[in-house]
Amino acid sequence: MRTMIRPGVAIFRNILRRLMQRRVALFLVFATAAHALLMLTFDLTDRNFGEVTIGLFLAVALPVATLITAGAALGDERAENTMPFLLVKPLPRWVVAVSSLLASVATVLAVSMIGVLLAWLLGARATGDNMIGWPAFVAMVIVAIAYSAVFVPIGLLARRSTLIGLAYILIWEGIITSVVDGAAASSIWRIGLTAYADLNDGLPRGVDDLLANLEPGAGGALAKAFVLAAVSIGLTTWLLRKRDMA
Amino acid sequence: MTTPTQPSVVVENVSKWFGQKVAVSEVTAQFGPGVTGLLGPNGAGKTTLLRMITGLVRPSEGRISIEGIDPHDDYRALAAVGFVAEDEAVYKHLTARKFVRFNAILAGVENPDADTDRVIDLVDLQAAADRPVGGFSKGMRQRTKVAAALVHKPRVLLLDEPLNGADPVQRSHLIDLFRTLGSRGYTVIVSSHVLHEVERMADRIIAITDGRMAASGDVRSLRALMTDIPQTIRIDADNPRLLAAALIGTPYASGVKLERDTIHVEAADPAGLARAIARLAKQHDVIVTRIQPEDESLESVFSYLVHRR
Repeated sequence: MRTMIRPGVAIFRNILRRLMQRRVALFLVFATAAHALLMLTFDLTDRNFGEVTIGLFLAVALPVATLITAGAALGDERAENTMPFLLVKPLPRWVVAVSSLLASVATVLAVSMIGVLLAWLLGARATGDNMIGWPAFVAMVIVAIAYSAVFVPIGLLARRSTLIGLAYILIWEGIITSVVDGAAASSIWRIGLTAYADLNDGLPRGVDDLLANLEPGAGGALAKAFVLAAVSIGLTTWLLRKRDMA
Repeated sequence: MTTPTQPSVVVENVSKWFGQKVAVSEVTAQFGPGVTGLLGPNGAGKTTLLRMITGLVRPSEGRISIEGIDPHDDYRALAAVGFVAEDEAVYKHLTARKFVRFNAILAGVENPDADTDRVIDLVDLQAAADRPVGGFSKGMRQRTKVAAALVHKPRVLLLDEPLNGADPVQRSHLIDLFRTLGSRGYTVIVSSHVLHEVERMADRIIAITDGRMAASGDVRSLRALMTDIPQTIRIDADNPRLLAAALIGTPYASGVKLERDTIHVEAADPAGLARAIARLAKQHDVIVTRIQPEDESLESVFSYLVHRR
């Protein structure tokens, strides 16, 4: 196990550097900061701060940013034919799977951090509550892990992973889970929302509706994200072993 | 670990198809120490075969082992393998030194810095080692990839068209390097579609076309097979009619056709014909301006080898 840490860290750093150097990373910084920039034009109270953060950031900007990042983590290795450098090595495939998932999560957190911190600062200034951004920060970490867990294997599997992911985010997560009873539990951003709701004193306006009938719970949300991550690592490892990586 | 008498890489009755397309069909071969050339035209199945040996592509049928271990079932088999892929892919954001070091770490090298320096010297890349690989020429990228493949001292080296893009000096350097590695007991498998390149590198050649093994043997025996192939030779001369008439009377030409100033000769014995042309031209005072084989493409050679099986 110890001998796998060094190559694992090398793969993590290499994927992280590649993802951060893409031009799209800069776009993602702005996209995930859009809600904070909009907040500059709002009359902020602690209630609508929550609504703007949730609606725009957790349900739209963060899933799309994670899709683009996680889909490229191993997808770019395939598209650019660099996969042999990772796979023709005496390394178990799970090391590649774990490293790519961690690199995706780290990249999403890095590009999203500016927006979250800016929103936190603006909210704290408007409400006087210095901890107002904490629930959104925790929700961001959970959502980044959970969406990365879904999109890393899709990026490895499908050439058009961005289109597939967008369809998933917009159609399944955006529409179906909102209108079909019981489907909300399968919505990934709502897993983050349950943590957000749990850590908030007094639920922000609008969040009640978004939660549907889900129970708030930060611990449960974190556990779900880790289960998704474990399943993702297992699936990615299996794909790397069983599928042709030509 | 295999002994010198045992083959390092064993390919047993291996086939691979992608949907309806058969890329490799029932190939059986053994590779031991020394340089083996995998020779075939583009699309013959060489790359698929090499990728199956590396574990990147899973055979549809058959079995592959490296030093007795199936690389598809046990990743530890790959400790013995260095692989240079055909394409130009590299991590463009890394310098050559960091790229090689990255490969060293993944291969489990204990002292990656020292081994990186060693192989960068080996491929003569010291001057450019700290420049990003993204700015390299194709030949320099190939040398960087060769260095990365050698950094963990593999016993089996798989090279897919490694001379692509290299200039003549670099080619010569790389060919010498592969020959040296082969003579030191490494199992080197090098694919190419260029016959004379393989001849310079390999002790043994496996010819592959349409996914099937067309022939195998040492360079001399395969060359002998190829010289048996009837060839059409084009000859340009100042008095083609006279030379054509003279050639008809020799045993070396099985057919002669005249077309303006050009003679097309079907050579039954190309080597004998070459000598006869010079002798007859001198004898009849004919000036020959060009002698050129018309169908010496590798495809035609392989087609011949396949159909004569």
